[in-house]
Amino acid sequence: MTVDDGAAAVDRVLRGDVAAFAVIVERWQDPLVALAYRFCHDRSRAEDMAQEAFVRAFRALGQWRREAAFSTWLFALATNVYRAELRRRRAPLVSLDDVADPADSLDVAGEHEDSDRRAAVRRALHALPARYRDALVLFYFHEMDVERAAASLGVPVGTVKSHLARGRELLRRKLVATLGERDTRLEEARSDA
Amino acid sequence: MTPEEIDRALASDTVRVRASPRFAAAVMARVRREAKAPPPLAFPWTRAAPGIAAGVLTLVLAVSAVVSTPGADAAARPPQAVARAVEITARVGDAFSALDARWATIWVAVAALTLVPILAPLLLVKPVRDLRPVRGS
Repeated sequence: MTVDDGAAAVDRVLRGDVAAFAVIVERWQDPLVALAYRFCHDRSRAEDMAQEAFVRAFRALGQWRREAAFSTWLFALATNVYRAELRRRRAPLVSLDDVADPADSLDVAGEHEDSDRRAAVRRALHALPARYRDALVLFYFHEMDVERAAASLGVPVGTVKSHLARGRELLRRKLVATLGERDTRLEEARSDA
Repeated sequence: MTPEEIDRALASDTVRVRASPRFAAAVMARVRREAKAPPPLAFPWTRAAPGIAAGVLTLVLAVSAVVSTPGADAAARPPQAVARAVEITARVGDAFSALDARWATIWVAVAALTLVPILAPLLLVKPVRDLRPVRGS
């Protein structure tokens, strides 16, 4: 769907053709569910959040100023919905200090080392303060495009850059502590075997 | 762990989550319900305007009355305004006490009548029955 296609569907909806909104839903359902999943890591909840975002978009369709692409407006709206939802019904998050050491549940052969490492990074990411977490989530969701992440968050590019730098530093410190210990224990286990 | 490794780990978080097949239908069902729902009631600015204007006017007049108290210096203004309010209240009280018993009875009856529009609807409302299904047999 091009920007014009989006505008055409929006125009039809605004003229009263509710069924035309299905075009928008079909086009953007996967990205919006995927973005929601990045925030909550729960497939069922991600669909609920995405559905809420679509309904809000339907209500607010007339407020889309066509200076920006429809996708930019839609992602910004969805991001606001997701962040509000996380604040309202916060999932039980663990403190950065309580991030589990992956070595505890890792088999000694280290077959799942990479996936555990990614899981540890994800857990640490979601234990960050919201402003750093949101910047990182949007930055990587938008394939490392700072400007798109800033547009989705509705903040200046400079703010996103500083939040990214600070967030990465917090992540790095914590992961060095947790994964560093784990790697040492893995080496010890391997040498014992 | 280096920043590059963190970048790789976060960028590789590419669990391809897709909407379920029934997602679009569920969204559209909700959107159709939204479309059918009556629009939210707008605040009745037209009707409220006279009341708001009267309130603002009263406030302005009250403030100007306090500020323009003749012969009062700045420090004495608030006590004088309070004294004036007390005086007015006392005069109203005197006026009521001067009424004879017949007028007093009429005023009490009028006050009692004001309860009618409040109590009458309550008497007309039937208690809602518990419509929950009975569980078990």
